[in-house]
Amino acid sequence: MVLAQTSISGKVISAEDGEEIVGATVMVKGTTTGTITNVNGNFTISLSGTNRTLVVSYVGMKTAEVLATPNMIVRLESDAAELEEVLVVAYGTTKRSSFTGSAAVVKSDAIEKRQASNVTNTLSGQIAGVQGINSDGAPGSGSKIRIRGIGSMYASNAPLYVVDGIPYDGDISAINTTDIESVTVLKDAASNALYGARGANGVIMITTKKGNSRVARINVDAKWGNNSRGVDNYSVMTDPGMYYETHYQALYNSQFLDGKTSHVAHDFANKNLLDAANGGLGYQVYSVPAGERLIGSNGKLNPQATLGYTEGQFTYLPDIWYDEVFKKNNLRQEYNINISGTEGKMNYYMSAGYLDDTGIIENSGLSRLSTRLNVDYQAREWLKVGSNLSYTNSKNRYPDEQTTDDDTSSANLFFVANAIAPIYPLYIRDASGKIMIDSNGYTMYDYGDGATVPKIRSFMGMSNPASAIALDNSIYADDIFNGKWFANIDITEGLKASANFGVYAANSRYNFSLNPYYGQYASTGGVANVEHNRKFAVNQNYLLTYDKEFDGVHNVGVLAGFESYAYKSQNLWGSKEKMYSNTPEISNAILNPSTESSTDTYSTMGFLARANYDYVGKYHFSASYRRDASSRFHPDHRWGNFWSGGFGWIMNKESFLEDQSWINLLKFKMSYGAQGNDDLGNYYAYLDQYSVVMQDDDFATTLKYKGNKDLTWETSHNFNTGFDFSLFADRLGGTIEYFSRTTSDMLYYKPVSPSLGYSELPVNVGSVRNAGVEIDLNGKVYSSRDLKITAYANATLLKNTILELEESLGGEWIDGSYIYKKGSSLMNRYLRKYAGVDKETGASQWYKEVTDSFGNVTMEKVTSYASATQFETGDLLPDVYGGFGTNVTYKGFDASVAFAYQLGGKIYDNTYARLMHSGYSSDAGTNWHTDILKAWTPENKDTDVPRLNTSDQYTSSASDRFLVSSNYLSLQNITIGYTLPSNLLKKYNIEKVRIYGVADNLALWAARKGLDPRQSYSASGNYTYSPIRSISGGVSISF
Amino acid sequence: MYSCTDMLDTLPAGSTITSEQKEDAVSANPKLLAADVNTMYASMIKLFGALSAYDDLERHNDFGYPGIALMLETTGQDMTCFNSGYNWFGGDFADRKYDSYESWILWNQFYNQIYAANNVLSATSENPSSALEKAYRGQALAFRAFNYLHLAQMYQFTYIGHENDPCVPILTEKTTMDEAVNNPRASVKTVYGLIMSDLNLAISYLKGFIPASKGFISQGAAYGLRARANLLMQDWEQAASDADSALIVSGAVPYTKKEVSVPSFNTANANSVIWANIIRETNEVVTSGIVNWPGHFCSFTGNGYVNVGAFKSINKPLYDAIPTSDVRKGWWLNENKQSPLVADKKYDKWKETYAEDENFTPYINVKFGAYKDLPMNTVNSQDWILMRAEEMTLIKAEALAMSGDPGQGKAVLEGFVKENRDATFTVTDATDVGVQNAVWKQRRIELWGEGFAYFDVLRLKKPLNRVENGVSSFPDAWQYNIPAESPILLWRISSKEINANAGISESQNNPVADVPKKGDGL
Repeated sequence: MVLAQTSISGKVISAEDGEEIVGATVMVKGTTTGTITNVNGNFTISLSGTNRTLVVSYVGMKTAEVLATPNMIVRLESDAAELEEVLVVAYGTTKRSSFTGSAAVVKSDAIEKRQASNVTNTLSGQIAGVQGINSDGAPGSGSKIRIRGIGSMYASNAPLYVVDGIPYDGDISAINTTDIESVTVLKDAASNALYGARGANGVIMITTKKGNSRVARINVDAKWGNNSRGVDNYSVMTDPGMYYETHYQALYNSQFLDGKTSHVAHDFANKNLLDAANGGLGYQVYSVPAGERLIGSNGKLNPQATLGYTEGQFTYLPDIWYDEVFKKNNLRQEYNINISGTEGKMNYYMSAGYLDDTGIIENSGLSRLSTRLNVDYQAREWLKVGSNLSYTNSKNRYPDEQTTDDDTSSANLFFVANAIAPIYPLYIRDASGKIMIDSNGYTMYDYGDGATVPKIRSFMGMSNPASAIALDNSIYADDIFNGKWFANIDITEGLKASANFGVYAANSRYNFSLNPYYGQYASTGGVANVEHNRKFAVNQNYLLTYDKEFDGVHNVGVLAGFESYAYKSQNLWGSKEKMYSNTPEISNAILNPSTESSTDTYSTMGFLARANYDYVGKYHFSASYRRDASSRFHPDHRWGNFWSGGFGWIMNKESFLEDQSWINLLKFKMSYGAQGNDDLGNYYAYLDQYSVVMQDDDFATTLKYKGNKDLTWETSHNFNTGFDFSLFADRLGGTIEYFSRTTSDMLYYKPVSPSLGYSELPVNVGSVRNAGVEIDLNGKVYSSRDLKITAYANATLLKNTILELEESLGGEWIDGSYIYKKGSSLMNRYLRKYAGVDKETGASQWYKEVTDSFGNVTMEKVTSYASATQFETGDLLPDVYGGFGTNVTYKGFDASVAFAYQLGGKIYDNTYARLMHSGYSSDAGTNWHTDILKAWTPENKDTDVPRLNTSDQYTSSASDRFLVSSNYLSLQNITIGYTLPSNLLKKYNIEKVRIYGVADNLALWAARKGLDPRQSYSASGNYTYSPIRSISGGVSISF
Repeated sequence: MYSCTDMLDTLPAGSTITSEQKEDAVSANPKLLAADVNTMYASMIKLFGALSAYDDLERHNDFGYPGIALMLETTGQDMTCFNSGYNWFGGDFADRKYDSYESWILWNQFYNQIYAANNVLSATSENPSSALEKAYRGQALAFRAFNYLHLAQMYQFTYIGHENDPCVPILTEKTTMDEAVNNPRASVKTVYGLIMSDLNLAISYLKGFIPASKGFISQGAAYGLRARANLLMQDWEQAASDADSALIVSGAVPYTKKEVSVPSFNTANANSVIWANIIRETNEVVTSGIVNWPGHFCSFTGNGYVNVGAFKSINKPLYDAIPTSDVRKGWWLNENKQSPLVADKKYDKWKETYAEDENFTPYINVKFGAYKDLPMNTVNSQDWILMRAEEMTLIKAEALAMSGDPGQGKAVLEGFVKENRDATFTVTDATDVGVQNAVWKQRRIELWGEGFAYFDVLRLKKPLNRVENGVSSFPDAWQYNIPAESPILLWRISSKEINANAGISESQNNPVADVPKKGDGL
C-alpha cells in the first residue's frame, strides 16, 4: 500500500503561557526530515510512510513526541524542573539535592520587583530566618540583616557578604540590584563554616548575572516614580491654641496642686507661659486685645485671640513644620540596560544603569551610575579565564545628623519636625506677614535664637534644620571599583585548579560645610570640611577540587585551598572656618585650619578543605575544615579552627516511599559545626591604644582604648536539622528546619569599675543561644493555561537565651536600662514599673520593692522615681517573624504582593514617651501626643495618664509604661504588570515588552500610628530618615 | 602576593598609637615620657572624655574639669541659669540620680584623672633620683591628691564629724585588677590620709622644679592643695602656713583693682595664677566650637550656649550684698543690665548684639573675659584658672583667725580687700567665727564661678539657701532652701561603679534623696 504524501500543519506553543514558540525544531521520528517553526510558531511538515510520530524540541523545553494530526497544537513543557537546581555555596556550587546545609535563595525576579537602591532592603520577609532592621531610610541606605537572631552582645551581628565568591566589605548600595542574579543566604554551619573566622553570623552570597542565551539578549528597563514618607507621624497636636492651653495647664498645676490658690496659679502660669527662661514657650503667635491674657482663668484660649501676632518688624505665625519640610513630588527614576549572551567559547554580560533617587527631603538623595562587565572565555579545552568588573560612580547627598541615633540633635529634621510644638514659625515673616527673603535670595528661617528675631524658642532653639538642610552641604562622591579575575584549569579528569583574585577599591570624597549665613556657625562665618577616604581590599584564593564517581554509586568531591584577605582604610580630613562663599571647599575658608589623617589595616588568611560523598545520590555526607587567622588578635591567639559536618538523606528514593507518587522530594538533613566571629569593632583590640594630643604645645597621650592581649575568636556552634520537601506534583514545596546556634566565648566589653580610669575591657566570655524553627513554604495554588497563582509564606520562631555570663557578674549584669541575665534574652530591659496614676494627686507612680523585717517582699506604689525599683521586663524579641506573598498571572497580566510581619514582641516607644511629657522645663516646646488630653485632672481622676505639671521631672522617664507591642504587618511591595502579546511585537523584532507599576513600602500596621517597629529590636524613635514609600511606573523591553 | 603571616601584624597609623608603638617611641626618645605627665593635664580638658566610652556618648557638658566646676557652681546657691532645655548645667539636682549622665561624668572624670596620675607613678621609680623624675612624680602625687580631695567632698560630708563615714574607693598605682573590681569605699579618714601623704611627698619632690608654664603643678600649687586639705581638716595653723608658702613659692599676687575693672580671668598669664588649665586653639574642646567652658559660661563668646540665653548669673541676694564701693559689683550686670566693666567702648560690639536683646538679662556675669579680650570672639580658647593668689590669701585669713588669732586674720582679709577690691572694706565682727564668715562672703564673691562655693557650703555646714528673705533670682521652679547636710547635697556613686565594683553594693551607696521642689524649706 502506498500512502500519499501528506502535509500536516501545526503550531508549537509553550504549555506554561500559551505563547507561540519561534524556532522550535519539528522532526519526523527516526528520519532526517524536519522543519523549524516560523515567527508565529507555525510549521508545516511533509509525512511519508507510516511514521507519523513527530519529535518537537526547543531549548529549555522538554522534548515532546506527538502523533501528527492536522492543525495540531503542540504544547511544550518547560524543562526547568528537569534541570536540578544548582546552589551557590562556599567556594563553588552544588546540586540542591546533595546539599546538607541550610540555604535560601532569592532570585532576580523577586529582587527586580523592588525598587531597591540597596539589595539588603529586598530581603525582609522573603526568607525564613532573615530579619532586616531598617534604622535609616535614606536613599541608598541598607537594612541591617540578621540571620537567625542576635548571637553576639558587642561583636558584630552582621553577616559576611560575599560577591561572586569574594568577601566584600564595601557599600552594598554600590551594587546595582538589576545586575544581581541571585542572593543566597547560607544559614548553618555546613554551608558557611568554610568562611571560618567571619561566618558566624551567616553569609550572604551575591551572584551577579551572566550571559545564558545564544542570541544576544538586550534588556532595557526604565521606571519613573514618586517618593513620599512611608510612615506617618504620631498623632500629635496641630492646633496652637490647644498646645498653649495644655502648657498653661502644666504651669498652673505646678502651683495649684502644690497648694497655691487658683488665682496665684493662674498668675504664675500666665507670667511664665511665654517666658523661655522660666520653663515657658518663648513665642506668642496669637494676638489678643490689649490688656487681656492669652489664656483665661478657665484655662481656655482667649476667645478674642486671633492667629498671628505682629510685634516690631516681625509677624509670628506658626507653621506645621512636618508639612513644610517633607517634599511632595520627589522623583525617583531608574534606567537599566544590559546585553548578554554566549558566543562560542565566550560568555558575556554587560550592563549600565542610572539611578536618581531624590529622597523625601531637600538636599538628600542618591544618584548612581553603575556599569558591569562579566566575561569568561574557554581559552583552551583545559583553561577558562574570566573577569567580572564593576564600576560605580555615585553622588550621595546625605544631610548631616538625619540618621543620628541621638534624638537630641537640633539639626535632625525628622526629629524636630516630628516633635516640635505647633506654635513655632518655620519662617521669618515681616510685619505684613510675608515670608522674608534675605539679600542672598535665601528664604529666611526662624532659628529661635534671639538673633534675627528677638525670640528664643525653648525647643531646639539656635537651630532650624530646614534652613540648615537648604544651606549646608553634605555630599559624598564615590568611585567604587570591584573586580574579580579567575582562571580555572582542568588538570586531569575530575581534578581542577582555580585561582581567584578580587580587588575592591573605593575612593570617597566627602564635602561637608555648615553655612556662613544662619545658625550656629553664622558667627564663625561657616565651616568647610573635606574628607577623603580610600578603601582598598585584596582577596585571593587558590583552590584545588577533585570530583569522581566510582562504580556508578560512589560520588566523591574534595576541595582544598588557601585564601587571604587584606583590607586598608585611609582617611584624610581637613577643615577651615569663615567661608568666603557657600562653596564647600577648604580653600574657600580662611581661619582655624585643622587636618588629620590615619590608616587602618586588617587582614585574614586561612587554609580550607571540604569533602563530599554520596552513595547512589541517596545518602549525602559533607565535612569541612578551615584554619583561619585574623589580625585583630594577638599572634598567640590568632589562629582558630572551624569545621562542620553534614548529612542528607533523599528519603523518597527509598523503596518504602517509592510508590508514594505524591512525594516528589523528601529530604532529611542535619548538620553541625563551628564558625568564628572576630569583629569587635576595633581592629587592634588586643592592644592598648592612645590618642596623641597636644597639651600646652607638647605631646600628651590619652588612653583611647583599653585592649586585652588574651582576646580571641568568638565561636558559634550551629546545629541544623530538618526536611526539604516537594509534594503533589511539585505543587507544594518547602523547608522546615530546627536550628540552634550557640555563641560561646563571646566577644564583649566587660564593664569594669570606672574608678579604674576606664570603663570596659574587651574579653571572651559568656554564651548565648538562638534556637528556633523556620518554615518556608511555596505553592502553586492554581495553574491553568491562562491563570496561574503561586504563593509563599515563611515564619521563623526564635528564642534568644543567655546561657552564661562572666563569673564575676554573679549571673546578671545591669547595663543602664538593660539587664543581661542567665536564662533570659539579650533583649531584656531593666525598667521601673509604672503603677498608674495616684488618683488623688494625679502624680505618676512606680512600684518599689519593700522588704520588711521578716524578709517579706511587698510592692509599694511610690511617686518618687528615684526610689522606685527597676525590674526586668522579660524578653522583648518577637516570638515569630516572617513574610508572605502571592504572584498571579493571567494571560499577559501579572501581579504580586509581598508582606512582612512580626508578632509577639515588645518595643520601647521613645517618641511616644517624649511626646507624653509633663511640661517640665527642658521639654517645653516639645509637642504632645493627643493622648495627653486624657491627663489626670481633679475632674478626670479615672485615667492612666498622669497630670500635667511643670514640676514633674520624671513623668515620662523610662518605665514599662512606654513598652508597646512590636507586632507589625507591612505591605512591602505591590507590582502589577502587563506583557504585550508577542505576536504584536514580532514584526519589530522585539521579544518582550512589559509595562508595569510598582509600589514599595506601601503600608505599615503597628500598635500605634507613627511607631515603626522595624527600626530596632528594642527601642524605637522616629527620628531617623523615614522609610520611603516609592510608587513608580515603568517599561521593560527585551530584544 | 602575600605569603608570610607578617600581613597579620597590623597596626594603626595616625592619631591612634598602640602601647607597643608608644613604648618604641619612648625608648627612641626618652623625652616622650613627659607626654605621660602632660596626659594628666590633657585629661582635665578632654572633650567628651568622661562618657565617650559609653556608646560614644557626646554630652555637651562633658568637657573636662571646667565643666565639673560649673556643675558644682550651678548646684549651689550663688549661680543661676535659665530653666530651659538649652541649659546643660541645670540647677535642679537631677545629677543626683545615680544613673544620670551627669552622675557618670562626675565620677569618671576624677577617676580618669587619677588613672593618668597613677600611670606616671607606675612609670617612675618609687625612689626618684633625678630632678626630672622627682618633678614628674611630684606632679603626679599632687594631681592625684587634687582629685581625691574633690571626690571626698562630693561623696561624703566634710571631714570634721564624718571621719569614719564611707567615702570613695582608693586606686593607686599599686592597686591590682582584682582589688579594683572589688574595691569598697574607704573611710573619709583613709582618703585624707592618702591625700596628705601624697601632698607631703609632692611638696618635697617639687622643690626647685621650675615648670615651663602655669599648666603644671609647681611646688607652690602643691602647697596650695595642702592648704585646701588642711583647711578642710581644720588644721588651721598648717593651713595658714601652707597658704602662705603657696603665695611665697609661686610669687603670685592678687589681681589688682584695675585688672579686675575689666572682664578678666581668661588667661593663665595673670600674676595671680598659681595653676591653670592651659587651653590652646587647637585643643579639641576649642575646635568643638561650643563644648567648652566659655561656650556655656563666658557671656562674651560669639559661639556658645550663652548666645541662646544660657548665661550664668549671680543670685540676687548675693549681688545685693556686694557694696557699690566694691569693684566686683561690676562683675555682674545690674538690674538695668549695666556694669562699668562693659561701659568701655571696646564692648560696643557686644552690647550692640545683646543690649536691646530680650535674652540679655540682669545679673549675668561679665567677670570672665573673652578669648584675647575680644568680645564676640568665636574662638573659645580661654584658660581655666584652678588656683590663684586670692584663694590662698583668703585661706590664710580664715585659718589665722580660726587658729586663735582673729586679729591677724582680720588684718590679712582687710589688707587684701581694701587694696584690691573695695577701699571701704572693714570686718565688723572681729571674733574668729566673725572673720570666718567674712572670709566666706569674700570667697563667694571673689571666687564666684570658679568651683568653690558649693564645697564651702558643705565645709562650713551651712544650709543651701537660694532664697533669702523672699529674694531670689533663681528660675521659679528651682527656688528652694535645703538644710545643712541634707542627703540630697551629696552625690550618689555612679550606677556604673555600683554595677561593676563588687566591693560597693547598692545599699552601701549614699541614700536616695528626693529632688527638692519649688518652695521647699522656705
